Amino acid sequence: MGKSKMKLSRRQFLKAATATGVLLGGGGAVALTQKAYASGEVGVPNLKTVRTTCSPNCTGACGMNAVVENDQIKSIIQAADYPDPEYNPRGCLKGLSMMNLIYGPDRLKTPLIQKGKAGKDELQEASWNEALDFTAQRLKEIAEKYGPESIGVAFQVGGTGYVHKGAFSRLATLAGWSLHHAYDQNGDLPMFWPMTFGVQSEELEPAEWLNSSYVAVFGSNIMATRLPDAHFLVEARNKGAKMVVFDPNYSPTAAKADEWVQINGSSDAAVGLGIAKIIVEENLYKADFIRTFTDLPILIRTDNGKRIKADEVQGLVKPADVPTYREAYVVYNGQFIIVNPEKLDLPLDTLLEGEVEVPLKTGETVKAKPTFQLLKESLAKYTPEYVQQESGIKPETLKKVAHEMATAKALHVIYGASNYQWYHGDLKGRALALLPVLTGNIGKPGTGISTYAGQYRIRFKLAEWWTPEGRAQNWVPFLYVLNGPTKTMKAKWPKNGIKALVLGWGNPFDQHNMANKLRDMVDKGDLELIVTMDFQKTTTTEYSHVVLPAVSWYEKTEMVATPVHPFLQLQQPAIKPLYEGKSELWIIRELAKRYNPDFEKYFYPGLDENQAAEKVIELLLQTGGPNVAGITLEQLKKGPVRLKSTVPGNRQIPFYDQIQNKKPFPPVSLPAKIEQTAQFVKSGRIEFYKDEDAFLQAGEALPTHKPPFVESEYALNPQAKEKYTFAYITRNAIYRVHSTHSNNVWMNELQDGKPRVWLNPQDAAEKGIKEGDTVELYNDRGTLTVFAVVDPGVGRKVAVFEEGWWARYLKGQSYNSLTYPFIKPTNEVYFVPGIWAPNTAWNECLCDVRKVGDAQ
Amino acid sequence: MRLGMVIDLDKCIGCRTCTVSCKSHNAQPPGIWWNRVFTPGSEFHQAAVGNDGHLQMNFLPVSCQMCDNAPCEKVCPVGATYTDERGVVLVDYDRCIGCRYCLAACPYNVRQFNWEDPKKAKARVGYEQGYEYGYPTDVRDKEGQLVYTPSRPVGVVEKCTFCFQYTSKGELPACVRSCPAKARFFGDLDDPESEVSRLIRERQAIRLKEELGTQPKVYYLPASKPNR
Amino acid sequence: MRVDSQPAAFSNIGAVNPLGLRPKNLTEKPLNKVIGISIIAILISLSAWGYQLSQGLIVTNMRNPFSWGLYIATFAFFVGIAAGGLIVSSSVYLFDLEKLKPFTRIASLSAFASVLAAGAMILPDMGRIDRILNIFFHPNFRSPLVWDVMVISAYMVVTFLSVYVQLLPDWKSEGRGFFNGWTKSRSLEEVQKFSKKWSKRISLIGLPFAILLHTVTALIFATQASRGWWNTAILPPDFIAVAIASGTALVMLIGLLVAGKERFTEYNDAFKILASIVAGALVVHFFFVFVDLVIHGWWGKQEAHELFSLLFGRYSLVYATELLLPGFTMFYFFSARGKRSYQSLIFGSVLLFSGVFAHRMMLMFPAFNAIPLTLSLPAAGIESWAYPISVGQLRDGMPSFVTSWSYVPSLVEGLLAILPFGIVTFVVSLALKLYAFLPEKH
Repeated sequence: MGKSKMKLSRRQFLKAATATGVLLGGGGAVALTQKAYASGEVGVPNLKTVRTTCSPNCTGACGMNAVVENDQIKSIIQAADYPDPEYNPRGCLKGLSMMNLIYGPDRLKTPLIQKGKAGKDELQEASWNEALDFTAQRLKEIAEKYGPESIGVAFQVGGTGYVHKGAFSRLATLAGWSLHHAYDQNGDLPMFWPMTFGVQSEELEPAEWLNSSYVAVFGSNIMATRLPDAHFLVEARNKGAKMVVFDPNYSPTAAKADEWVQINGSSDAAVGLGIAKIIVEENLYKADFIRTFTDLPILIRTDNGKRIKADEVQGLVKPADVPTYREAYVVYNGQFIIVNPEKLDLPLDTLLEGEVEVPLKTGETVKAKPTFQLLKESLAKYTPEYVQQESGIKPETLKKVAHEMATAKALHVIYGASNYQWYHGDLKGRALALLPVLTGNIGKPGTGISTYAGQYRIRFKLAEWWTPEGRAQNWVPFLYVLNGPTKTMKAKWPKNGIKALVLGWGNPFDQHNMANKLRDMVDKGDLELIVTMDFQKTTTTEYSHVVLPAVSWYEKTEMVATPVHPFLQLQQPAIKPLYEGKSELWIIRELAKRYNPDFEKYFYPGLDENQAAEKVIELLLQTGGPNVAGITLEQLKKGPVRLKSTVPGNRQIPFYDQIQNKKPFPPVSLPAKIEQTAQFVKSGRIEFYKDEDAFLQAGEALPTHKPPFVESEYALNPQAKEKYTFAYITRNAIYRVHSTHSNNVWMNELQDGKPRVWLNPQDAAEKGIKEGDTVELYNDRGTLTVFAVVDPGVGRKVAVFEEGWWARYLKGQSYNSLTYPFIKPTNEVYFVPGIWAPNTAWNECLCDVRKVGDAQ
Repeated sequence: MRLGMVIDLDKCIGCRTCTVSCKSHNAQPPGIWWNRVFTPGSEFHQAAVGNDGHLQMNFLPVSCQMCDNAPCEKVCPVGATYTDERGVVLVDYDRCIGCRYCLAACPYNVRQFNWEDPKKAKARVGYEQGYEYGYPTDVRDKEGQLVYTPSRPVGVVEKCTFCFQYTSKGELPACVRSCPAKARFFGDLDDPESEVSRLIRERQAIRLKEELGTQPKVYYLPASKPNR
Repeated sequence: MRVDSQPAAFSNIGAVNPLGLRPKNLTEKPLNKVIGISIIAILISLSAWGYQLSQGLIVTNMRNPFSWGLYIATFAFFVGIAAGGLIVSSSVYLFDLEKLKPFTRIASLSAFASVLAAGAMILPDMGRIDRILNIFFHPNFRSPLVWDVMVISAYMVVTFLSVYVQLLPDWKSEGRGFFNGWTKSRSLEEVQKFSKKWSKRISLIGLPFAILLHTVTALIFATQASRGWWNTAILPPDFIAVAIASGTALVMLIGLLVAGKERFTEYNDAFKILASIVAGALVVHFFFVFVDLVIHGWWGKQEAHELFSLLFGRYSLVYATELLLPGFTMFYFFSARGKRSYQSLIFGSVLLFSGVFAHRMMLMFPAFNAIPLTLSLPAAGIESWAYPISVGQLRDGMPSFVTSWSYVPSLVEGLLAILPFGIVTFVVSLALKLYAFLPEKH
């Protein structure tokens, strides 16, 4: 009796609560009915929704709503507020489970100082003052002893945080420290881009995929690595675009494709050149297009392989208005014509094939051929039979796809990171770029070649915040830190090397610990100080001397714009920082003040961390140039705003301006100046011929196929050829953004907490390995203990590992201890940070596999 | 009104975002997953199925099928499982006696039991002290039955509610809202004009274990690619 | 007429006890020991229950993919032997099996004790025992579990009454007992007559109740089309056959223990009949088993292949126990040798119980380890693929999703499952100690 009475009164209370609950309930969703089906909620929830941007290093930059009660995030859901509705909702399983990191057991609570040996002893809790004073003191000592350039600064992906990452750059610039660019450090820089198009990299925005009629995917797993954009690809296919995936492995992307063409690892260049040969020989190329926009008509000396400059030819004079970073070359149409690098206007009868004799000013006459002729000759080797031998693709398949691509109305090549993160990744990109270029599929809706990796691309001018007073910056590609300096390097190596690292937004002691070099350097004392800002207790924090507790993107103010979708958006604090966490701008300001009291004024002293961040955003918007012109902070607080572009409708179609308006290549790659990048394509055109000495010496003047490992692993250790026959491929999992979320409890539940290796059934059988067995992947550099997945979709002789697992899940080993920091000489021809720089080749790695235990 | 869901397997990319949003918004304790996504035929999710290069990889999300003829409802000795007027099969956490007959009865294995106090299980994960994720408040239906509570009592059964806390207010379930592949649709099956009804008609929708006669209100559109 | 006098009763036990009472001192000491042991057993199981209540069912090895285990199997086991009792006592009246008449009291007692034990066993399986009364407040009459609760409750009452009416004359003459104030005003003869009449009546209703108990308990499982192993119309009749075998065996076992070797020959014929009933019921049971296997196997569905691989592969040892031990008992009890001696009958019965217990466990293993949501993928040449189930617990090194669960009862489950054994032993031995259940032969 008493019980039912209680129930009654509670129900009455509920009724009262309902009305309020409904009023408070979030809007925006489709209303199914006006009728109330719930009696209500016990205790009216006092919920607020805060819109922020999920910004790990995936380039997703997904707008998220945090549902907050009592200063705690209860759940997260996609904000789905993009003005272009096709982009809604953006967000994935990792982003929706950020609570596990924010409130999880690995959250850093206080500053930590290592008083013993880094990587061995426990870090001790410290106060902010203590930690900052200690850090500043040690940095000053190191700067004094070895020079400030011996302090290296590495932070991941600028585009995910223009304010706080900018603060990092600002301090490093003021202090004269060295900066390591994340883009080449991460191996995300597709070197064919600067080589061929003179840009850092470009891509169609995903909504443009819907305008393609043929999508050729080479080594990209959009369905797993670009979750928020994957639907565009399926929709494009259903709209009628043919989707063909060229990949050694049957991926979720291959599963959604019309066709999966299995090819051998790192054989994409052979396939691309095989297709190009068919296009060229069957006259399926767009001759006018290549005459107008490419270097293919340019004459090359047959004796030394150099392009003939206008100034060298009798009777020709280089126009005076050619900038110093450009060069005027020569073509022939019955007479020699100067190629003005600022204009794309060659006559349509310009010679593409044949040989001419060129009288030089020196009096000698040299033989020369148009680049196209040389290309055609070099393609002769790529017969369907040869391509089959190298890649495994059947001749009839090769011919079929070649014809399909050549006749496609809008061909788009997606060139994935798992493809280009090889030693000869640049060659593959240059070969595949031939396909859209020869067929005229550049600069138009739904066409081109795109790489969707790395959150690198800077979308507007940053200099006012990132490089104070236009000061010079010391950039040192990270590969040199691991590999040591080379004789051919163009970047300036600090005279005493790198002695300290100041790190943020990253976990290099797993992610960049190639051949275990980073850990060794700490162990040996070569790296005397590691300072890490993070909000999670990663492997890197364990190897650090100072750990400074930062915050997640739910606890600070920040501005984000990433290349994969063209919106500018904010991170806004949904909750107060947990524990003693502070935003990076605050940390850097405090550090700057202690390092050099003169620096404080550069970081908005006196302002609260969020107010200071807003000031920076306003500064960036005011000085950011045409791409952000007219966009205000107030506007961004209301929701994401599409960036401006030169394409009608502010769409993101690379080289639209070049093709439609015949503007010379390259378009500018921010933050670099045009003179820095235009030197890569001196002709002002799309270049397939590179006549710099390093290319000529390597036999890579034209796109060519080179088998993997020969110039890398076998050169390092000739015995590797026999000893290690498995290619160690580190792909991305849907459960992690690189090493972020490695400790996310739900993500680990979904994987049974086990790091795995995917093996071909035949390889597994030969090694006596069954599904679930414990196996070791090993080479001379390291050993990993993982569990086997026997997958009929995995190609022969590859061991596929899903990267990002922290060492704690791998018996303390970092998975990158197997890889090696190879540096390819052609990557050193120029140096522009993050644009032309030695690029990490994660997949250029050999190992062997052995069984060590039965499946449980 | 009969609320139903349509899942387009052609669009589903197997990313498990729905799995996670479901877990988070419904405060499922460690080890409990109302909404699963697997690759039929494969031992491990997103590994290929088949041999000799003839491969396939499709994904199948499975949560409560919201049967019209729900065995779980019929076996429940105390009527803790019931179907509300919108056709949603719900569990009253106040009434369930934890006999687990419904776990044995459900052909889809979507029912989950709180073998221990969820608070204890969450504490073991090591969240900040006192932190609880998920929709933060109890929700009762019109009759006052407790159909959602952020921390379930030990010893009761739980499962998908079509996000009662949201759909009772006219919002969409978390899995539908969060699906980045846009593969999930939700609406009134009784309304012939609704998107779900239209998709079921036009795309040869199927239901799981149709032969058992459970009459699910979750429909699947086949993972067929366009014929060219 | 007034027949009274308690004093007389005290002074004249032997004389006024026409049904006869064995000399008390004969089994007093062993009975006390048995009672003591059963109390300890009950206390152990109750403390296991206490621990389980404090921790949740996580202390069992059941999980989502294998959600019923030792408790339900033990429950079904005791339901089975409970039915046997009334079937025996009913048969006496229905089929006029005079020779079995001395065992009707034991039969009723074993039925009552067993159903009590079964009822007790189901309780710890509930996640929320505190809400058990919801079954009465909010019964869902579509649920076979509710039918079962009703039938079990009714059966408890019937078996209790059966024992009660049979003991009334003793109590009258001994001047003790309970719920028997009303007999004060009646003569011993009247009470005897009442007892006889109602014993018969109760036995007659008892039989359908016993059958019903089995049918309904079987229907809990047999109604579930999601579990091929259960979903057969053969299950209820087979439950009855097994119940007759095992229940009769229990009556026989208690009879044997009560009679002791000393009086074995006195009831030899009765034991022979009981053994034949056991063997006969087993014939029927094996017939059902055979038919069931043929029906499952003949059509050759993939599910049947999996079922068979569980029965004859992974669980072949348990399945062999289920088949071979009762199989042996069946032949043994048909043979003259098996029926011949005190020891052989006890031996055969114990084998049978072990087999039947294995049978009850085998209700669970193949049912739960054949995942209902199993799909065929003809395009990939895969005939069956089980959809993984979330375990319900996060533990290091344990997968979160599984397609089979190697269920072995935990220690807590093992200890807790002693409860019904303790109850049966306690009730039976206490009753035997207090009252006369096996009359002396005239």
